[in-house]
Amino acid sequence: MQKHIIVTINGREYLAEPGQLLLDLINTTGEFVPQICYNESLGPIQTCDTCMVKVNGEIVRACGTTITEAMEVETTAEMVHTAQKEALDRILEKHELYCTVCDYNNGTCEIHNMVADFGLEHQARPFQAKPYEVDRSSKFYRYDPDQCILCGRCVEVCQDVQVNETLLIDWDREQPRVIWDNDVPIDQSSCVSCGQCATVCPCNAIMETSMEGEAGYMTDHKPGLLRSMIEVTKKAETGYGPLFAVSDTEAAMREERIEKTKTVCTYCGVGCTFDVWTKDRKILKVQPQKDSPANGISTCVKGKFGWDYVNSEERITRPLIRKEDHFAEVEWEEALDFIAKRFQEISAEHGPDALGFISSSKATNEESYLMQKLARQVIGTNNVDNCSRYCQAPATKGLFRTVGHGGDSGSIDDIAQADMVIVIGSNTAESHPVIASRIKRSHKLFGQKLYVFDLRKHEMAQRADRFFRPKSGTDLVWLSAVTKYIIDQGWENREFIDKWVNNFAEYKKSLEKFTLAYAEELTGISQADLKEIAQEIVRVDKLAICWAMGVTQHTLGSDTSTAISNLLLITGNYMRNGTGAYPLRGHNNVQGCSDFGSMPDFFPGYEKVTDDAVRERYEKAWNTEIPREPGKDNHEMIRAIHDGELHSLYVLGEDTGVVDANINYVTNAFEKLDFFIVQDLFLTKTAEYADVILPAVPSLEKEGTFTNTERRIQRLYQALDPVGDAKPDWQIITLIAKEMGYDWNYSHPSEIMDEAAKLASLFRGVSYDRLTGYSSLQWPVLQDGTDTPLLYVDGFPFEDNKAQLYPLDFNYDYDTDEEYDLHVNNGRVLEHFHEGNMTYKSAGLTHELPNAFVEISHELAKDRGVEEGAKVKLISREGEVKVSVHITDRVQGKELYLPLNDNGKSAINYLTNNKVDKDSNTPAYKEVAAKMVVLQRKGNSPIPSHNHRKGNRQPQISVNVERKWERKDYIFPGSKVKN
Amino acid sequence: MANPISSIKRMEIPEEVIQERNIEEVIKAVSDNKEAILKGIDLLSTIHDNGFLDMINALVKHKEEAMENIMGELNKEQYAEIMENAGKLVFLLGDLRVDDLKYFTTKLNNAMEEARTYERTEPTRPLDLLKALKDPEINKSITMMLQFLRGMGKP
Repeated sequence: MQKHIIVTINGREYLAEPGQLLLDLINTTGEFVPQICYNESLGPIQTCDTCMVKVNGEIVRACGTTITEAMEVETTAEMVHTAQKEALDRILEKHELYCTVCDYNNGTCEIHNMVADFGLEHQARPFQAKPYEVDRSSKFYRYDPDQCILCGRCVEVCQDVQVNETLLIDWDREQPRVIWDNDVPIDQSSCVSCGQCATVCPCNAIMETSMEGEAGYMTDHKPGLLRSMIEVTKKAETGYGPLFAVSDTEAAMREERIEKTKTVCTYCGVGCTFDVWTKDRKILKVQPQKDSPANGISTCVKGKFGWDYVNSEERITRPLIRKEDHFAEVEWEEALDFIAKRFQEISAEHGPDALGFISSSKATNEESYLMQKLARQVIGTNNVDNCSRYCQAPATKGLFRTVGHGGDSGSIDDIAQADMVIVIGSNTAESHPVIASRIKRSHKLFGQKLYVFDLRKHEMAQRADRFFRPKSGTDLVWLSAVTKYIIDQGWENREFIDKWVNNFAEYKKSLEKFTLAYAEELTGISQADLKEIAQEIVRVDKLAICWAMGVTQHTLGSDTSTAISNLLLITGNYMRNGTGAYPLRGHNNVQGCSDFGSMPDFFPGYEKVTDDAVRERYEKAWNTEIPREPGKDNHEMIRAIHDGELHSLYVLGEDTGVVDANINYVTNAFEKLDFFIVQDLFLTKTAEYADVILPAVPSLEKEGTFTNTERRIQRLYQALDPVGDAKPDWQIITLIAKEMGYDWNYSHPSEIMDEAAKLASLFRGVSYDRLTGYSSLQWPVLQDGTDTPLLYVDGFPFEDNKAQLYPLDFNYDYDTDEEYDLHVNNGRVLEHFHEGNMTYKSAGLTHELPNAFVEISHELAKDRGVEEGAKVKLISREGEVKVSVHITDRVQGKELYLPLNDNGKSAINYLTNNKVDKDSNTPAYKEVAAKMVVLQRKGNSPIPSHNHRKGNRQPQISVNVERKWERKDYIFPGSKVKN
Repeated sequence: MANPISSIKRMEIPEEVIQERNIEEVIKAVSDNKEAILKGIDLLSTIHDNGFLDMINALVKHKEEAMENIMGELNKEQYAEIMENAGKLVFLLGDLRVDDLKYFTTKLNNAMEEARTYERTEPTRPLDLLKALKDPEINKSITMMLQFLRGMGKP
């Protein structure tokens, strides 16, 4: 049992945990000690000196004091008070209090609140302006050195939480200030605009530009007038009492017109939650919370700043029906009537299986549930799928084969806690920035080992302890060889395998082929390295493996995912915190869309369509008959259109014509459809082929739930009214069903969730009440609301409670050849999402990165005689793209990298083909061989000079407060009051 | 069979229909808030009658200029002390013992009344001063002033 320590505070005794921070203890006692730089999410920074207390007779910083033995603490003694006041005075010397005309005066300014709580009435020393201009070079936030108190929170968050390592405080100047990189303007630095510095800034020094002149009633004046108002405010309000009375009233008045609504991010699968501040339709800022379950105070640039698309002029605001050469806006009645009529006609003529339905990973769980209900109940077909087919299905398959649940084994916290993280085929820092930050932090501060396997030397690879570049598509080989070597050495976790794992013997036999020599030959990783990898894996206690599209989007995607899980089983890396399999889900709700049944072979909760008992349950609930055979997946639907079997397609929130492989093949199919509905925010490339376009709304304009990569179900609340006649997807599907004679009668998404929870045991205990605010549930959820942050704690969901080793072979035939000699890797970039339909509507994001580009190696550039900015044409057997060249050492040899975030002439899917993962039909997007034709030898770099990729990181740990203490003019406030 | 198209023909909603919808919305709001609206009209009519409405109207329209003028003026050197004094005065008033002040105010008023109505034209000689000390009211005043001076001298 842990020994507690007795700490006496102002004469009262308290029990402290050994190692507890004194300030944390004091904050639980109700005693008041001022504190400004301290923030629970960041830990002690020790810069502001306000939390002075007397410990055993000495004045010390409470935030810098760890409790290791019994101590006597005074927080109210005169000399303590004097030291605290001295520290506050020093802060006010750096920060002008003009609260009433400050955009940060929203009740949360920590300087304001601390001065008020302390009861400071007068400033001992006047404010001293600093000789620096405001830095407004970033599109997203601005830094005002004059208001900066040098608390260093921004530096701490940048160095050790986001771990982008851009911000520093230059303590050596006469007037220290925060600097970016080696003292360049913000936009010339390595800053990735994650915005966390603005999130944690205690005042208005670093602030979102979208707040400026918007938040206050009296802040939207010209700079000159604002300055005179500040002067008058200061003159008229002699003491802080009256100043605060006025500014607090003004802050309260702001509540009247600024709404703060909790939402879940609409971009990647991390599932960041935050408050979005809106004033009418203006988005003032995004404020993540300490209690945000997946992200805490973190965000990336898209979640923090990428919401402009919501107010884009290009939004579709009314239903559109194709009329010869144009789309005509119509009323809902007309559109619904037309849809019902066409659905009925086609179903009558060709049968229900002639209709197909594609759900969206951007839509809510409830909407996924309704889409499959529409297909199965109203139409009577299992032809329903979603975009997880393009990315995640292989990972799910691999996990189903081995451990039984198609989701991350644990939470993001578990990845952070692991002793070793292996990242395979995931550009985590750009695709899942907030998860990447957790890994980067553990690696930087807590000794976590990081091994990265990728073609590209992306940021995670640059930071890794070991980085390997296996030949494309051969991860299965090195994984299996390492597993075999572990078993051959007798290093497998025998106890775990005996107790929890089936099929060891057969599996071991299947490994025979995967010798180190074989692996070395196929992957290019040396035998010595493979041995070292195996040794490191068995050396650590807790291993987590993260993977993404570099694994799944291959013809052996499911098998490679299986190999990962096999390795984890052999080494006993399941069932414990800090271990497990983490297929990083790409979209905000790609997990939930599959979870809630938009799959051709599964009902909600992954119950098989072929299972009679399950089907009967749904047939009874919906009073209908459901076909017993699985329907067609996305890929099969497209083929069925070409084959003349599928005549109608309803695509919800998916730009299939850009994101599915082999664009030309897909769009040719669209042209053959008899009836095509697209439901979206914009007139997408896909929508251009539609007969009816239905105007949907973005996440900010509706309620519902999303499920993130951790299987975490989270509620989003409505922040804005729908634009025009646009409607949430769940309402539109409900209206279509009604028009077809099925009156579901839902008035709120919570009723849909209740129905799903009743039918699918995986979500039995899920309800909106249990998801209120920032509460969340990780499935499976029991009836009583108990959820499952860590899977498999009591065994694996198979009949005998044991996991299953799954034997694999390796037959791989992709390679480049003499003509198509370049391998075109592809993936995401930080600034844009997917095909860019949302992010390119943001002026800020587009300014950061205006268009896609192709990364080529220095060797290749030299070989082909091209320089930065050259224009090239890449030609595969399926099609071609035109794109600008960026030369970088992130890629090597004849491997290229083409970001997928473009829907124009450089869209990767002009090059991809119809090859798929043999087990899940996921397109093998990562197996693209192409040749290159040079159109122009050099030009302007496609990466603007203000892009973070051109910056210059400055790693250090925290803010180097010792440098402040070493300054000649620094006097410890406590020492000043000693005599 | 559908070729890709991207032009949209917006639904043309006649001006009258838009107007009708807006009016419906307004009528509903009026009906829902009848009491408040009637009171509002009363208020409007009152400030219209006393001329206030025009003034507010003009001021709101010229808000930025007005603010600039006022702030510009207030920031001038000559107001600096007034501004500061205005603030300080508040604290000063807090320190003053108003009951004592009231006592003196009464006395001061009597004194002023006496002084104003006194009609002697000849100058006062030193001997007159000594004589005056015998007047109990004058004597009381002088004693009080001496006490006042003592009090003022206290550290």
